[in-house]
Amino acid sequence: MIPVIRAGGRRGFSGGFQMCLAIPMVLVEKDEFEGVAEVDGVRKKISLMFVPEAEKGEYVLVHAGFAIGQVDAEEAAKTLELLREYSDAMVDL
Amino acid sequence: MAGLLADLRQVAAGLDRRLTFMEVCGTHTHSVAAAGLRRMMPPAVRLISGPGCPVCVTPVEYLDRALALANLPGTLVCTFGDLMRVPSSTLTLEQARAEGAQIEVVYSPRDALVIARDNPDLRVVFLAVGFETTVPTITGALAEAEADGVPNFLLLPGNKTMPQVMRVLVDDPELEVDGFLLPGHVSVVTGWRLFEFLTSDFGISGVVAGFMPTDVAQGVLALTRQAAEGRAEIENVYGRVVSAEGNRHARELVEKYFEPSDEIWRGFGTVPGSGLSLRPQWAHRDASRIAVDLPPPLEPTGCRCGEVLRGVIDPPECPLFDAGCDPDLPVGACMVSSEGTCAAWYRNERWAVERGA
Amino acid sequence: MKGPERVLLAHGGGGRLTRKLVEELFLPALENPLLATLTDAAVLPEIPSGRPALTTDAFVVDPPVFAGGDLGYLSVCGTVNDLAMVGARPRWLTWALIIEEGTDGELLETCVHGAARAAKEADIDIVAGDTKVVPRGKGDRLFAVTAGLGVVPPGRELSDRQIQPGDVLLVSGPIGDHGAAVLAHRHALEAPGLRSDCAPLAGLVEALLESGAAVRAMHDPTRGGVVTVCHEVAERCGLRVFLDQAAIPVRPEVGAVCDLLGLDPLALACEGRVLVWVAAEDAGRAADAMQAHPLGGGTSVIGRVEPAAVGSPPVVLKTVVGGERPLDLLSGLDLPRIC
Repeated sequence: MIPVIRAGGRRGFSGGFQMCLAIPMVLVEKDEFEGVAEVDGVRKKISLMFVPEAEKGEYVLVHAGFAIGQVDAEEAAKTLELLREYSDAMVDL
Repeated sequence: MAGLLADLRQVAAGLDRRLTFMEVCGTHTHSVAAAGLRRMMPPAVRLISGPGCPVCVTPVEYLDRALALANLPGTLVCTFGDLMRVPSSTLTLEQARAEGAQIEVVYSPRDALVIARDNPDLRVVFLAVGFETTVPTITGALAEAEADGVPNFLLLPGNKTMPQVMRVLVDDPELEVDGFLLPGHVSVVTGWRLFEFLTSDFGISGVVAGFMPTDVAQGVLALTRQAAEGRAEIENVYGRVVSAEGNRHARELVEKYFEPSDEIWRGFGTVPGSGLSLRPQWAHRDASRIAVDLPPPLEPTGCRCGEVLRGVIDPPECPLFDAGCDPDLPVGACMVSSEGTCAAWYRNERWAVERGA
Repeated sequence: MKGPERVLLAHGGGGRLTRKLVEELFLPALENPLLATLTDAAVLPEIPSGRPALTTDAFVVDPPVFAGGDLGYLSVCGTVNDLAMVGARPRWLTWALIIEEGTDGELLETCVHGAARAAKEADIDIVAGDTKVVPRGKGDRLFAVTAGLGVVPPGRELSDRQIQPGDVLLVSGPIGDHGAAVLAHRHALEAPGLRSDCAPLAGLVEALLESGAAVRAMHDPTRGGVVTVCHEVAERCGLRVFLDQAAIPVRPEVGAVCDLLGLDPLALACEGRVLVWVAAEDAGRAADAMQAHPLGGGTSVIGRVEPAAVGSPPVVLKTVVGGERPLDLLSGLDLPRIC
């Protein structure tokens, strides 16, 4: 299970659509180029046309209904380690 | 976070000059403001915003065309919400909608495609605005429309790409920038190699960073370290989603449908090769080919959005800032979008926050 | 308690079909002797001593049925809560419907039963009503307009003017549930754990006031959310409100919906939460009283009141990373028909 890094539980945006808003979500269902991704108990249908190699259980970066990239587990773990060293970020596991 | 900032302060303490770093992503503008980061920077490090808000750099001509299309019978314009309140030469899309123009706010280009499917008699035009992060999603919707035979889904091309305008920024004698905080999600798609020209052609550093406060702080720390050590490199501190080459599938699909074009950026004029227009074989998807009557383009008087977008002035230096231009009654585009530099400044920087007793 | 299969224009015509609708659906569902008189106006019994409090509300929520409630249930809760916020004990409501021709009868029934359920929970009576039907396309399924009458007991005084520097701000539970539930529905986000927090708050409010804690004022953060209420209060009393982002309870699902749609939980509507301004020395007592009530289990201290300061914003947020920034009012936030 990839640790999803959050500096603080909430993002605290102040309204409006952010053009580069992309959220790491876990792929829970996959049917060729379509899938369902989930974060914190919320599920959304997404297109996998840009990340066809993503497998169920892996984390993808979702933007405007499409997965645009994958979350690299090793890199995520490295960042996590770095933040742990600073020991002041809140982390979801 | 405290540790990151402590490291930053330490590195900055060893500097002999003030550093200016520019971010070119509206979501970075927003993250910095939302976390109150600018105020947390050491005095030697200055963060400024560039033309990173795609809504803000959309020229008035584009809005005029969108409005004209929305007033055509049998046509529905679909758009991201942020464009609704951007001034055109006449009305905003929001005002036009209240007067009967057919306009619908969507959160995704796919939503617009659904509307097109459900309403085969309606010509649905999606306002294609946004940088490299969003372009694949728009292209994806278009590809689906082609594959599934949905003829009534069109785009009004208005997407822009970053590198060309960054070259213009670096060439600008009025602007002195020591490094760029590079857009994290654009880089997911394009790969960080896209920005290598900064170091190879200009000797300026760039660090790709994410959007959490800790990500931004990491990015600024890396930039400051580079400056202190006399390096100019492209670094990536968003490795968990950004790679050197980016998303090949996304880029290939975009290549298939779009080609570079010369685009007008509010505040910059025409930036060659910075836009994406539909290739001729997709003319049937191109709403810019529809003949419409357009008013002469009119920019609001006194508005200095252009200079704000170029990073040459801070918002309060515009005479209209908080004196006739605010998020409720915006004059210029920079104040409209939640990612706009003026809006972010208005919301977060115009106050002096004092700690409570 | 049966209604028609589909609502026709005639159901609003005042004739036989209207009567049938009233007698077969509304009366049995909303059962109370005052309503049953079906006169032009409900003549109320003697009002208990105290000051009458009157409010009105309109409900246009889309979709009219959502996880955790429906337009009917919401309309009664919303009205009752307005009264509760000023310390009034809600007693009687009016309920008028504007229905679009062709609306599914089941939807109407759901909303009527929803209203009835809320009325029972809130221990109030809906004593007068009206039904109008507009032609297809001239409405959108169902709209409701209410008025609510309650009584503020003698000696009870709640007003923003009483708020002072040093006062503490409490919220009765996680924020944004209602707004997030409605938006999730609209944007095809599935969130089985997410429900509107819609609930009648008079009972919670009475428990709080009975504790004897020095409550200055209360507001329910509906349209515009917590941020809007804090701004209104700050402006009204010329003070500053400091919020502690880390202390504000937000369900993970609500956070996720906000992340996906680019919204702030502080801007989302709650329909079953109360923001309480209380004297600092009574904060503990107030919190205990609220936590003991079924609707107050998630009560948290989320902020405090400070004196005004020149050049300082009225509402300040201490962010989770320790920075402080103004929490500005959100202009042009396009969130229609949340309640």
